[in-house]
Amino acid sequence: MPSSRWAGWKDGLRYLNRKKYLYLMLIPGVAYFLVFNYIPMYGVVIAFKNFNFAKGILGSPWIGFENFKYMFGLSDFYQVFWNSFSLSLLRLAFGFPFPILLALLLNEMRNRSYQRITQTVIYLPHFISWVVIGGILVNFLSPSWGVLNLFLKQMGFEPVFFLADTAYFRPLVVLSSIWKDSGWESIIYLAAISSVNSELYEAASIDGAGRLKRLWHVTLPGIKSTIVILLILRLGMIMNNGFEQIFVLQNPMNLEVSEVFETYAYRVGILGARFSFGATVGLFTSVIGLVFLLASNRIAKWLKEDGIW
Amino acid sequence: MKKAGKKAFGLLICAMLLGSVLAACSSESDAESGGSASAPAPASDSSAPASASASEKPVTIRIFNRVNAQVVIDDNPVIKEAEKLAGVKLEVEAPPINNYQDKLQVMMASGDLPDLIYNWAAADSNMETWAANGLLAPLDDKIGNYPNLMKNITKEMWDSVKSVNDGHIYLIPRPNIVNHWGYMINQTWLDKLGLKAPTTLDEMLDVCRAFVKNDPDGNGKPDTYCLSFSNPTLGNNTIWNASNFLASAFALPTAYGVKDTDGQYKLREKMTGYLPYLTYLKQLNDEKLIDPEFLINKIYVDQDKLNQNRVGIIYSHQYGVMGNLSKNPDSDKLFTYHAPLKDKDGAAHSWVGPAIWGGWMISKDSKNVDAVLKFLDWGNTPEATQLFQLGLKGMTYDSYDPATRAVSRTPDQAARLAQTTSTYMTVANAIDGNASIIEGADTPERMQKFNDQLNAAMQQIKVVNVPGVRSPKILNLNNSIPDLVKKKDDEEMKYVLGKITLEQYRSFLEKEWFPATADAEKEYVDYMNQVAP
Amino acid sequence: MKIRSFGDRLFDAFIYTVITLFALACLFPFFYVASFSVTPYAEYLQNPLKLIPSRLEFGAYKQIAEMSQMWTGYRNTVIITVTGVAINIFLMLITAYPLSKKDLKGRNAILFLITFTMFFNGGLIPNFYLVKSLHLYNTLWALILPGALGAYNLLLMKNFIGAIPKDLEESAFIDGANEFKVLFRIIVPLSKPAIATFVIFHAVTQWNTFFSAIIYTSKRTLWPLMLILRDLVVDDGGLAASDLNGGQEGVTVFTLKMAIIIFSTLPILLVYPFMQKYFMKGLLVGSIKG
Repeated sequence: MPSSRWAGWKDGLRYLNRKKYLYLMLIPGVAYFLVFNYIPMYGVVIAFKNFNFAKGILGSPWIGFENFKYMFGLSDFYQVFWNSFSLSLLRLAFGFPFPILLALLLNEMRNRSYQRITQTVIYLPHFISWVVIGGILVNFLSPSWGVLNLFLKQMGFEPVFFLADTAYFRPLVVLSSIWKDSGWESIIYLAAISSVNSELYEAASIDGAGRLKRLWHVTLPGIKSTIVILLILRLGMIMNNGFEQIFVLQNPMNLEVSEVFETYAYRVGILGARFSFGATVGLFTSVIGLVFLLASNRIAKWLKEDGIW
Repeated sequence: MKKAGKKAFGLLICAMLLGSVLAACSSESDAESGGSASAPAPASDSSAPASASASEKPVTIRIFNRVNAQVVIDDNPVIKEAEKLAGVKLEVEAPPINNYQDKLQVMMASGDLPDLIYNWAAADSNMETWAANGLLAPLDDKIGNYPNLMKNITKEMWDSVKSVNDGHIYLIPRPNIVNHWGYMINQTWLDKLGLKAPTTLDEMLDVCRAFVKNDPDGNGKPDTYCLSFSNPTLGNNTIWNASNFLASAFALPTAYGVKDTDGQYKLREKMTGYLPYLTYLKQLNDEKLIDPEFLINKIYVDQDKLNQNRVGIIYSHQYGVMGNLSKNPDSDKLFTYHAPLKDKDGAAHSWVGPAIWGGWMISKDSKNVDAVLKFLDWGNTPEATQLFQLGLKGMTYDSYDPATRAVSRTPDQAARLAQTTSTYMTVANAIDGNASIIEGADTPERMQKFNDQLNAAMQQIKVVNVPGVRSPKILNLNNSIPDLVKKKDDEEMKYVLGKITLEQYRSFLEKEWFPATADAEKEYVDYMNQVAP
Repeated sequence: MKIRSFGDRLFDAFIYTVITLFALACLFPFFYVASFSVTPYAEYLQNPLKLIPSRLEFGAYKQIAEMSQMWTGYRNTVIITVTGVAINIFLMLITAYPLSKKDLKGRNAILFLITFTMFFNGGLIPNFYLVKSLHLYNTLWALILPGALGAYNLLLMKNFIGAIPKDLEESAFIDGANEFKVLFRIIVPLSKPAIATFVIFHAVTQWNTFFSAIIYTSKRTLWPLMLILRDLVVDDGGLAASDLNGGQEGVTVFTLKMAIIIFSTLPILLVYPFMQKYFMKGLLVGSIKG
């Protein structure tokens, strides 16, 4: 028995020698994550502590799940949970496919210079911060001076108070994030498309496949693994909606649907001066995200797709 | 068996990687610090040795302040002048306004505190926590020795910053300009329609109807509203943000610390004027006189709407018209400032709380508490406030008359000002409630207009000094019952918007709001009866 | 070339319509900001939708150019962007390549270790301590190293490299090359689109750095451009307060804000067209025939 174990080790050492360069390459990256991500990770415990400024994170007294109890005890917690989840799901359903579609369409354009220009233009909004974009949007949708409502009035309709009407909030968030970021997000798919083996296109052309067919049978399968991995990573953020966009579009009249974890942690945590509350909310959403990521990765593997590992 | 070996081997690989990392860790940090030396960081000449407590050398004070990003801190001539005048050496760290709070929290938690720390929200729950955690020096016994502090900071201000936990003072208030909240109105609209600025609720309704229906901007379109509000923060929505000009007519103070008309302290929602005020707003909304977005406008949006001829009236204090010049170069020609509306007894209320703009905390570890207090004492002199607000003569201004507060600048000097200093640099932003200059009033004509409007308003205004309310529960409802605060906010708006009836709203108050706040109300009433019976 | 079918043309019409409409919508906010940065304020007040100004007013840009901290900000931002991207791409390549080998032992554990960091972090205070104990505090390295390698992009890069056909590597190994050689001679040239993508991604991230500068530096001379921009644009209290009788004739807070946005984003916008050719090469093969 010991000899067979030793054989295992010996195999291992031989293996290590064969792959030494690969392991050498890994050292800086792994070291990086250990130093910059794992060493500070002890800070997570703040969610289970009553933070004391003089004693620091490690010295502060433990309070167990007090912060979590407070969080779960708030009656609007479930509302916030639902808002975060449903909004994120809507974004996933509409916002996730859009950049793919955009990349595919851009790829099919024949006019090279027009393609270049439009490509550059659609990524522009990514560079204007939500504060500004949100400001423009709030302005445009305003019932008192917004263009959209002026137009509606001219057409003989009643003005619509978009940002105060809870029915419009979610579509607005989804549409505006598509508007702002899908051009930017399409970059990665464009890169994936350009990595598709060109011989496959030639083979398809010879077979007489039309453009749609080629798109379906060559391009899409070629970028499938990119789509899958982005989808898995996206599912890991199922509880996240980002702070800035929601914050600029949020107001007391749409709060019922617009309060998500990020803004909630801000309101109750920062404004209410609960130092650990943000960490508690963060930890909660992270755990859910991790579960979603692991599950979706497992499903991807089960479907014989490349997952994260 | 072989499998077990392989598994063990896999673990070993991971362990080895880990080990190599830990081994590399120390050398890595060396390498990086070596790298940092070659990083393009400027040579710091301000790192004076900490042991420089020799008697003739000036004391070094490390300051943590909140200053707008436009001001250049390094080699700043105003800071240098302050060092000279106050006889100290200053090391200023100043994160920008928006993210000041983030750095402050990290710094307070890091253990390495500067001598002097600015806290924007004055004696808030953060200050209480820091004080309770033993980070701050109690100052009660010392402040009496500093005449300028005692002179410029009123008793109300000191009272307003006492710790609610132990009654000590941990924060020196930064005195601010005393504002009289009234309203700003489009004077050209009034003139065109032949109207006068309203002083009562009825006049207000008349002006409002005219502003909405009689096309005051003359563009032929019915696209104007009479008034607007702005800046909702939850638990304190736009209805209560500086809306004194309307609430005054109901003798309804928009802040705590004032008695109701019957001479009793009570919860705002129980005050005599509360429901009538909401009902008046409801009427304005029903008649479509008020901007439909009045409940949700973010800060300054009402001002933009005024500047763009969408509304004719917004809340404002006496400095509003001239302050608006930075947004609208014709502000002084278009708009005028007026007193709040009179109540049924003819009083236009200006409730003036302790005018402080945050305050200064001294670290318990500071070796120079007395020197720091001496510096703050100097900061409360007219000399200091003028320096921080005006800059240096010849560099950022040409001439200055303290009596009229008139200042003149060449364009060159004006351009240099923004990078040299700002109100955020002051230790005290006002001496006896006044700033060194009147923002925007840079010509004799503007100065005249400002003074005329202020004097006219002050003749009507009844100033009520409001003590600082140090009753934690009533101020902390946002934290103790966040759900209900949100709900009350919501119901309040629903009533104003006509979505629920007065009866429904009243029943919400009685069934849910009053019981939930009874405890806080009692504490508040007891507190107030002690402070100002 | 064969005659294009009706369906083919319909497809083209569809593409051009969708892309053009979307591009116009995307152009709008940028155009809005750019336009108002040169519009005399009086005109904006009269009609906030008048996007074509009657005359161009460059006073705001002049005022910005006179702010010395804008230029130090520029310098810092360029340094952290260039250095940050170089470090990031190098680390990504050498880490992603071994991780793309499915049979490498310990790979899954490391991948999990990396993925885990996407969800859990210690928060501000431990990171602050870390930066201090590594002696990075108050250096530009503090704006480069934390965040030099992120799990998200790394996993994508691994995925890209993993999609490269194995036979290309095999022949090199048979010729006796080691993995370092294969990585830099074969994988890197084949990954140009991916590398170009991550250059853009990380350059933009670095260009937009502002928060770490607040936490990891105490000197204004180390501030990147975006930190100054945010303070001036997000809450105009800062601008208005420092305006104490100052400012230039005809320039108001609003105009100044718009100009600051253009001033600070224009350089980074130029990175994209520069990198674009690395996607185009692939695209060319993909669609020009047919």
